[in-house]
Amino acid sequence: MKKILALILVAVMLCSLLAACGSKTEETPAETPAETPAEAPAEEPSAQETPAEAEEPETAEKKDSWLCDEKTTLTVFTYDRINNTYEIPSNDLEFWKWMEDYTNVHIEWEVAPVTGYEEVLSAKLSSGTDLADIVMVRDPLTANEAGLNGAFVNLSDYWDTCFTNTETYYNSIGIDYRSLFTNEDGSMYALDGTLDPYNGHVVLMYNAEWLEKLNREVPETLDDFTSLLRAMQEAGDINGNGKDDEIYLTSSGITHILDILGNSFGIEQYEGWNATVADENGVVHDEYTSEEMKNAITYLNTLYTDGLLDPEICSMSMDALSEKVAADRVGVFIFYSAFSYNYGQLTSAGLADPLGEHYIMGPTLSSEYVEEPYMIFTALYDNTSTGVNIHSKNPELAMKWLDVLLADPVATQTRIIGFEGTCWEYDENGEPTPIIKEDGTMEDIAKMGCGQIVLPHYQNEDSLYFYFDVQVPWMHERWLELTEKSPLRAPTVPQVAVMTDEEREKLDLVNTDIQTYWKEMRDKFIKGEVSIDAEWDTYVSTLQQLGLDTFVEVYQSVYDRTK
Amino acid sequence: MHHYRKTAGDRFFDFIISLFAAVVVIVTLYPLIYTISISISNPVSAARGEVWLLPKGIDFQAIKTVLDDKNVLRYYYNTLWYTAVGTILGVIVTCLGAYPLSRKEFRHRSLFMKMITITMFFSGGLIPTYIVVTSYLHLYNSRWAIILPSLTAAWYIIVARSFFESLPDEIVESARIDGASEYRIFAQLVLPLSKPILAVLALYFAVGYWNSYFPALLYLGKQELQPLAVYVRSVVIQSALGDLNAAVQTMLNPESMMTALQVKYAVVTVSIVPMLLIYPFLSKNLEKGLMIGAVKG
Repeated sequence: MKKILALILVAVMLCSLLAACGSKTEETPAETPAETPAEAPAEEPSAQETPAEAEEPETAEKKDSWLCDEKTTLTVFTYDRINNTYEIPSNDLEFWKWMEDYTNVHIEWEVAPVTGYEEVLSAKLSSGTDLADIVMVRDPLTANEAGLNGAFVNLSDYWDTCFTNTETYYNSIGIDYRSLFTNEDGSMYALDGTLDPYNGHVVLMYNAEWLEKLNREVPETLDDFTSLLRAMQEAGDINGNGKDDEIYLTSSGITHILDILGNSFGIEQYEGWNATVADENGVVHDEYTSEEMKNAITYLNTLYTDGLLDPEICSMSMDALSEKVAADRVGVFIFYSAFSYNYGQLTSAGLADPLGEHYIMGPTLSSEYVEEPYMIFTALYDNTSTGVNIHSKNPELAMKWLDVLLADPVATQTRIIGFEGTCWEYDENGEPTPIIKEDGTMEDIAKMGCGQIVLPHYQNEDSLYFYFDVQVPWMHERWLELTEKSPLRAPTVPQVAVMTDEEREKLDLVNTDIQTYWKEMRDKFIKGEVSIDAEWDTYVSTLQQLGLDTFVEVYQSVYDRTK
Repeated sequence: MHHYRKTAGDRFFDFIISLFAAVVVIVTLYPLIYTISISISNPVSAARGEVWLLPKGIDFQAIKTVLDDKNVLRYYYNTLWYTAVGTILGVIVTCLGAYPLSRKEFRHRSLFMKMITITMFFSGGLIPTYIVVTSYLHLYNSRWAIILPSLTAAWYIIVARSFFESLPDEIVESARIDGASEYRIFAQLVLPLSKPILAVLALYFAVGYWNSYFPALLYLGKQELQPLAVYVRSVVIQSALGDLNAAVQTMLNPESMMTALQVKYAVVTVSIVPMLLIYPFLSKNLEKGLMIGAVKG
């Protein structure tokens, strides 16, 4: 009996081994797939038809939006998702089914997890084998380098024929995005998604309940801000839980604290960008050793020493921030503006009133150093740099497909707000408006593959607030209010996505050491482990030895090239 | 067995050893208990950091969220497939490699042993390995890309060889005298006496394949072939609240957003349960096998 069972087990294992054979498939861009999306009958004919349409026979009527007469397959290599709330791209998602229908291009997805994506990409680019037609690289500098090394097509050669939508879009918003990604010789090897700088920003957020208890308003000056923090501290058990666990000011890390409060000292640095500033004579200076930075760090050290700044600030993370906010411990935190409502929901007040404004966004603060507060633009591109494989059998088709995805009006409307009839409908003024279901919820467009995607796309204010404006209108109103009080502006040293070889080589030599030392000393100064007054000169001279002059030279070159 | 009276010093020493062992147990066990507790706790308590050891308010919503993901069962199947096939083939290949190297009659065993040992210290690196697997073996997007490159390891061959060398030569000689072929000797005499080492190898391979994620990252572009470890790593490292407009659906349901914070722990719990269930059955043999080579003579 035992032997019979053993034989059966072996037979089952052998069958499963055979089942795995032949699972590798050779991708041929010219292959036509067997299936096309076939679901519920069509509702009304329009350019934006939902994938729940009538069955499409292989001899479907040609659409104006099609990029090719015969259905053609392209392979796309990208990462799986921006975070866990998104679906992994696949042809099962409504949006990608719709894109296939709209463009007549079938996509074979090759997806690697976002964590570890760079290692996988590096292996693929280095080996040059099994590279998809369209390759997501993320970092524009890496994408450009791969292009310069011969991996990608020079998009500039095809710009006029393949990127008509993108050109129109760039012209419409008045920002010369193309120059960000173009080399000195005019070549351009990657297309990146764009961020409208008015999309959102890291801002100060004040606990509405605590403000009410203290009978205070959202501060607009640095002195009022400091006074508010002290008032929160002096109020004792302000969250009423019987424990001395209040955190007066925190964030998901020290970087955002310095980014926003640093604006009150004249600093332009934002999220690691723009650690340089140009004066009125066009001379570039670093911000790591500036008087403005010293003043900002001294101020933060004072907050830390007085117990007003989270003692764990240098090791905080987004999840740790969520936990503290959920425990009703946080008075003020600094984070992205679009999260003001969902962080508010984590609190006890938020559980009872999910749509209420439990954290109020506030503008950056004026001070003795800065009369007119400001915010610096975020990066103008969103690190979705994508190249077209130079060995692709359909490079022009791949470029046109990317062009549609990024900037075709119908495709972008579908991506941003979903499908007519299920996600939105036209109101009496002919404007799209979200459909609210009977239970008060709206369709989750992320589950359909819409919204932010793992390929080049643009994010702007309209896309962000389309759904928010219905349920939480105060968010957009508050954002507009604070941008009026602390307007967004471009940094004096422009952001660039590509550098010349010389700039890149010089920066590679010094950047890592400078960043590592700067972060280490920044944390020590703020926590008071090292005296600012006593050690500042040593810190400056160490940075000089690490190549700070070279660092500044690079950004001077960038400034001179792009001003 | 001789019994002797323990001195005060002996008792004190035993106490210190026990204390140290208790600390090690707590340090090892606490993260496991914490992870399981937080994944089955009430989402609000979990989000507020109120859970520190035992669950607070039992709620399986996070576990349910993980298991509701239709991909999770597929990842589980893939992982089971890689583990089962990899373990069986790995043990077979390792034993077939180690046994001849343990036989003194095999004249060139020293040369082969040196060649195998060199691979413990030197390798081609990531890019050459990638080129071999994808361009020469054409295993990109194939399940065999997970199995074949790590089918055996020099260290496992050395351990198995040591074990086979410890078996009495007389058994093999007597079987040879009786006319048994080498294959028969190996299959019917040596292997049945090698249960401890087979259990050790099986456990090493099983744990290795179960936790393996980097080969899957490199060689599997198709989502449907990915193992569970890739999914777990992806969920655990990413933040739960990292997006802008994806949270639209949670507007009226903040508890679902809090569940998102627990999901990381739930994913880890779901992925470790099988190993926790299997290990007790192999622990006896593992203890024997781990001491292989420790006692000479």
